[in-house]
This record gives sequence, structure tokens and C-alpha cells, in this order.
Amino acid sequence: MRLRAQFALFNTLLVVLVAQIIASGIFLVQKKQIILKLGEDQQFQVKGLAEVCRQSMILSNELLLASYLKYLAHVPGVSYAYFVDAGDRVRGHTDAGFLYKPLADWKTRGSRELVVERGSTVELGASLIGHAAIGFKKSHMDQLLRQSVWQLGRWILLSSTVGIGIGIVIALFLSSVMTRPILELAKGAREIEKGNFGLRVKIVSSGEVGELAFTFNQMAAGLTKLEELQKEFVSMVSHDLRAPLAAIITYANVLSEEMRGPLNQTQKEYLGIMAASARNLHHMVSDILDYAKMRVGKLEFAMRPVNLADLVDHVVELFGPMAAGKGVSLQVAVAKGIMVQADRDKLERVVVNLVSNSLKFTPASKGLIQIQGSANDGWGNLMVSDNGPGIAPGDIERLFQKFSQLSSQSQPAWSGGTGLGLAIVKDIIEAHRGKIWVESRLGQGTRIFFTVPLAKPQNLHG
Amino acid sequence: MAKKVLVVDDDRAFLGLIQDLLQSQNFEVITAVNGKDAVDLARTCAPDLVLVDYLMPPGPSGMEVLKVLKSDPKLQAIPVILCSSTKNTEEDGEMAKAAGAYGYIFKPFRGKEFISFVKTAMAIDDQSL
Repeated sequence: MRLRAQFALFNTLLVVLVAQIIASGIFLVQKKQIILKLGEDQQFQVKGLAEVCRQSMILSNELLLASYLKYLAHVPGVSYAYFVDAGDRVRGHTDAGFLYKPLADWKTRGSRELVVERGSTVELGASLIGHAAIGFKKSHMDQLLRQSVWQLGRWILLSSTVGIGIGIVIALFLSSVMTRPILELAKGAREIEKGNFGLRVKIVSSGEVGELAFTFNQMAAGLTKLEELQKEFVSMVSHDLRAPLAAIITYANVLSEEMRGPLNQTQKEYLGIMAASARNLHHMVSDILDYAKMRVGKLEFAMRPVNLADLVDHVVELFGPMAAGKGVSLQVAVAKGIMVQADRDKLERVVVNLVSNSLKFTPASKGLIQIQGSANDGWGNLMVSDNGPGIAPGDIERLFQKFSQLSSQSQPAWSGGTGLGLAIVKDIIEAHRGKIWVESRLGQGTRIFFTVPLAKPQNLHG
Repeated sequence: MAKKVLVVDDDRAFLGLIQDLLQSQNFEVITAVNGKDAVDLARTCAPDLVLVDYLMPPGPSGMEVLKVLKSDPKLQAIPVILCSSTKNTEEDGEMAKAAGAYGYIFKPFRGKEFISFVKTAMAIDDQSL
């Protein structure tokens, strides 16, 4: 789950929990208060009755009491009320039929509804003159209580719902405020991952996230420096390593060409080996540097329409003498006029690499290398096949990995190489958005295919 | 009169080889090991051809030397050949040509090819090779 959602959910749960606790607390306390208040009201009514009884005794006006009782009889919730004198004789009753009878008579009268009776003594000076009581209907009390509690509950529910709603809104807002800088950082990290080291995130908060953003920017600055260093290193090394090798090769060339005097056969042979080894090293250095550049994303591609057949012809021209010397025949069948959208130098490098690999693994004499090119569905396809020893299925996967060289028995001891060749080839083809794959079986030769996009038709005549 | 060639390269091994090759073809050779000296020598010696290396850190690059020569009315007619062991793509060659260079030589090269290229640049009929 996203951090923001988690945070919002957590906050919401917290708000709901707190609201529930507060609401239940208020509810319980308020319910107790309501019950207490009800009891107090009843007590008050009873005191009132007792006072009326006392007054009517003092005034010997039983009519007063009778009319008051009559009034009470109509008060909702009152089941009965009575006044008994010290001799337990009924002196007033909402049921007039029991007047002047012993209270026990009434009390033993059949079934009655459930009531709560509240009583009070009636005193005149220091002497007790009787006892007044009111029976409150339990059902009415319950109804009253239910009504009040229901109302209370509704209010609490309403206000806690509003509270929770506000809480959720605040939680969402807070979580978005908190996670925005984190999302910003994540976006920044993705940019850095893409190689955009110049990116800096805005530092808005001064808290932990701000500190993280600050550290992030420092890291990005460090990466920028590192990238510059690496660029500098690659260009320095590419110059410093290649220049002396170029000198060695050129000196050897000049000597081999006998421009500085004739050579005997052995001298020529030795010079040839020296030049070949130096050239090999030169290629390796180029491979490594290109690979490094490719990894840093510094190998630039200039895509333009390239004639595939011309490119292949050029490569075949390059390898012609070498193939002829080894007794390997090169067969080319590339349809004329296929224009691919590619960086010519890089694509040539791919073809050179594939052909030189084939040449390396093809048996001397009876060797056959075929190069076939076609176009379909917006893509230019090229296949380079040989009738060499083939590649074991397990090795095909390793073929395009960097620094992987296949088992030594399958190649001559002299062939050097960094094992970077095909890794670079793959990178180059992928930079063209193309694909490269291998079909091979042990003893049946190897076929390598690649695709590159065709140039747009309007560029064909450009 | 022998044609005069100004060779500029910070790599003394190459400088020596090129000097040797050109002298063996009876050219007069003037050498410089940095871009600054090269421009000065071009002004004082009036060479028939300038061969300049692409990268000569920390001084001005071959491209910068080329631009200075091409912007000077007295020197702009001198053909300039850029050479490099680092930037060895057709694109670099085209870039050099676009900037006014006669041509571009990739190092390493073959001796005979080099001589014939140099001679063509100075419009010498090459029959000896």
C-alpha cells in the first residue's frame, strides 16, 4: 500500500477510535446524569405532595389535598399517590375508594402495574403526622429514559460522525503534505537512475524529510562529480592507451611495407605477428572504452538513412583478403536499396564484429560465411551464418554477456578479445531499438540475426 | 624546390615516424608538439601542407588550430590534414572536412596510403607509389 494511503488510514482509524472512546464516555456519564435527574424530579414531586399534605393538615382542609391528588392523577407517569396518617389510615388517595381505610387494604388489592414508589414523611413541628408517597410508572420512566438516551445518542453520533469526517479530511491532507516531498524524492531518484545527475530536489521542510532531501542533493552533486571524473577518465584513457598502440602499429606497417628497406621472410613474419597482436590490443582497448562509454551513455548515435547493401559490401571488402587467405568463401545476398535508420559507423562495427567472429570460428578451407539481408514490416534484417562448430545451447545465453568468452576448445588459442564484442554489438542494436538473436546447434554452424528500423520513405531520396 | 610540410603532434613517436616518412619522400619537414607553436610556425614558415593531430592536451586541439588557420586570409589556402588515434569515425572525418580540412587520417595507418594521401593533398602526381 502506498505510504500516503497507509498514513491516511492509520490517522482515520485513530480519529475513529478516539471519537468512539469520547462518545461512549460522554454517553455513559450523560445517561447516569439523566437517571439521576429523573430521580431528583420525582423526589421533588414527592416533597411537593408532602408539603400539600402538611398544609392541608394544618388547615384541616382535606379538599386541598384531594384536588392536588386529582391533579397528580393526571400527571403523566404517575400511577398513584396517597397520604396516610401516623395510624396508617389513608387520608388521601388518587383512588378515592380507599379513603379512610387502612393502607394495607389498598396494598393487598390485586395486581398492579410495575411502579417505583417514592415516599416522604410528613412532619408538623417535631411530630410525625404521616407519610406521603407517589408511585411512578416504571414503563413511563423507562420510556422517558429511552427517549432522553436516544436523543443523547443521536447527538453524539452526529457530532462524532462530523468529527470523524473532519478528521479524515485532515488526515488525508496531512498525509499528502507529508508524502509529497517523499514522492518528489522518489521522482528525483528515478531521474538520477536515468542518468540525469543534474537534478536537485527542492527542500521545503526542515524536518527529517528535509534532511533526506538535503542528503539526496548532496548525493546527486557527488554523482555529477563522479560522472565528470569518469568522462574525463574515459577520454583520457582512450587517448593515452590508443595513441601508443597506433604508433606501434603504424611503425610496424611502415616496416612491413618495406618503405625503410627490404626485409627477409622471418622478419616480415615477426613484424606481421607484432602488428596483428598490437591491432588485437587496439581493438580490445576500443571495445573496453566503447563499452565504458555506452554504460555511461556517452556513446552518441547519429541516426540517418544507411544503405544496408553498401555497408555490407564495405565490410566484405575489408575481410575479403583475410577470408581468401584462410580458404573461407564469403557469400553475400543483400537486397539492393534497403535503407535503414542507423548510425553508420556503429552499425558497420556490428557487422564487422559478426563477420570477424564467424571468420574466427569457421574452419580453414571449406569454410562458408553467408550474409543475407532483407526488409519487411518496417524493419531491416541481416543474418550472418557460418558452418563453424556451432554453439552449445547453454552457451548461447552467455553469448551476449560482457566478458564472456566461450570455452577455449571452440576457438583457436591466438584469438584474443575481451569478450566485450557481442555485448557491445547487443547494446548498439538495442540503441537502434532493434533485436539480435542467435540460432546455433553444435556441429551445425551458427546463425546470428539482427533487426534495425527501416528509414522513413521520405528520407530515401534525401 | 622541396615542398614544406608542418607536422604537429604531441606524440613524439608519431612525430618522428611521420617526419621520417616525409623526409624519405624528399619533403622538407617542420615539427611542432603543440597547437600554439603550430600556428606560429605556420605564420613564419609558410608550409605547403599542415598535418595536425586532433587531441593535444592541454593545449589547443587540432580542430582549433584548423579554425585559426582557416580564419587567417594569408594561411587559409594551406591544405590541412587532421589525424587522430582517438576519434576514428567517418563522422569525425566529415566534421573535419566541414570545418575546412582537406582530409582526415585515422591512426594507425599504412605508410604507402599515408604518403599518397599527403601527395594528393599537395596536388603532386603520385607515380612513384
